[in-house]
Amino acid sequence: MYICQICNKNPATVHLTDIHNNVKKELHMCEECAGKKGFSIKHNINIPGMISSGDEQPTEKKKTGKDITCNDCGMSWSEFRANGRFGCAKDYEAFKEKLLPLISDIQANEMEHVGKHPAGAENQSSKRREVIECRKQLREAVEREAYEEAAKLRDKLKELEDEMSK
Amino acid sequence: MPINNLVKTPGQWLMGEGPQSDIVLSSRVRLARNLARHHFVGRVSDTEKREIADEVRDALSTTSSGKDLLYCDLEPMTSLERRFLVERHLISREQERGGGARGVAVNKDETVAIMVNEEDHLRMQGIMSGMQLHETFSAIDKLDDELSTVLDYAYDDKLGYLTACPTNVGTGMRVSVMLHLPGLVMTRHIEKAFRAVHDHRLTVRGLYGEGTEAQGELYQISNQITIGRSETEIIEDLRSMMDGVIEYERKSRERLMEVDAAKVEDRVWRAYATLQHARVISSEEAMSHLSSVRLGVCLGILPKIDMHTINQVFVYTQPAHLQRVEGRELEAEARDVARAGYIREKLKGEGKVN
Ligand SMILES: [Zn+2]
Ligand SMILES: [Zn+2]
Repeated sequence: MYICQICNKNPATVHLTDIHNNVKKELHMCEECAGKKGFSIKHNINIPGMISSGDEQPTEKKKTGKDITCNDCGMSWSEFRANGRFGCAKDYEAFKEKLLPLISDIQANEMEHVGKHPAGAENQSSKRREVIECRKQLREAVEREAYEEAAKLRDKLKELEDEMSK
Repeated sequence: MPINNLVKTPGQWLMGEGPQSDIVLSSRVRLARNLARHHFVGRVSDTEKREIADEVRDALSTTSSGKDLLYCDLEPMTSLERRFLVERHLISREQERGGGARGVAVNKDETVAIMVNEEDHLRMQGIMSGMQLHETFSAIDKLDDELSTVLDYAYDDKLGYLTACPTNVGTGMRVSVMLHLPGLVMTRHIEKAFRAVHDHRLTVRGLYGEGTEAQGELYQISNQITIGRSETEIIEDLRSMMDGVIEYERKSRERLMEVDAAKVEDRVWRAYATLQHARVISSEEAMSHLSSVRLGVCLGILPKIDMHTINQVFVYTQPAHLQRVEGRELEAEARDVARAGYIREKLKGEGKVN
């Protein structure tokens, strides 16, 4: 159990974790102090905390001059940064340039989906999964010093990667 | 009102069954999905919300695993009824507070619950008793596959399932386990355990999720990373980390019994006595004693008490459940009286020595 780091009195019930450049900052607060600090209990505390306290630069807006806006739903980048929620699926494309580093930041440098896919979706993700699986097997084969197997896997990996980049 | 039926039997996840159920109350898996042709929930009109809800209900009725789900429309419900569903872990607090057309489709034993128009158009939840993450995932994986043949999901080849919040993008999957960790709390090792958990990019929350206080020494631990690894890998990562925490908890319990068995026994028996005889009890006090009694059951101090009974009392002494059981609305003070009565009744005939 943590004690609130602001009033040092109440038990902390709001826990913020902010991971940025592999440096983790944690803040534990009671509901009252969190409210005063402007972290509303309504939203997922961890998430907007992570998003809005990340690489935010106050000069960002001035530098670029204008905000990016999604043509489909009208959501602007600054609006997204303020509440941490997108307006539509097309925002991922519209905000791509600014978004990808952010995703990489909150998702521990990962940005490629290797999980399941909807019926009928392109099977790129299963190919990608094959590549990753092959890499893993290769690593294991090398560890086991099974060099013959490793050589085969290396060829297979190259084939798969060539296919992917087509 | 279909939810009247729910109060009679507790959900399967409270059964106290399954692997490691002495420490793991439940395993939960949630998949976030959105419909490509609609804006996200936060950006649609009430009319469109209704359309989305209808589309999802239609789609569910065409699938073999979705057609028998019971759909509860949240909009016309009283706030007490919605709170009741939160306490049962069938809807989130966010969905409870939301507005407009929204609902939840639930199966009979409550192992599957599909929230509609929460933060994402669909939030598919599987929840089961004990450490059963793979089984829980399978339960909703199949339904998700079937739905993807009739619904056009927002999906990007590289980024995966597109979600309203980028913290869910990729698999859209959040996996969590609810752990009872009195040993780590009593030995003051809990912070150390949670530091390790945080380092593995896992999140710790209380019984009712985001921003809630940990009561009854119950903690929910879930993954933060949703992209770059497969569903199975995410599950395995969490599971192997949890094996460590569970082992740590077991060692702490053993150590407590070695070092100061009398103190542990005293805590358990006092808690049990209070629950058996109290006439007025707050939710916090009840949770804290229930936690001690649960520990006593696990350690064999109270051998005759059923784990299932204790798990059930944790949920049924929450305000909305209490009022449902009593069949009327109760002010806070009256609830404390009703709670004490309910617990006394439940523990009657349980845990008698000899
Ligand atoms: Zn405070
Ligand atoms: Zn948009």
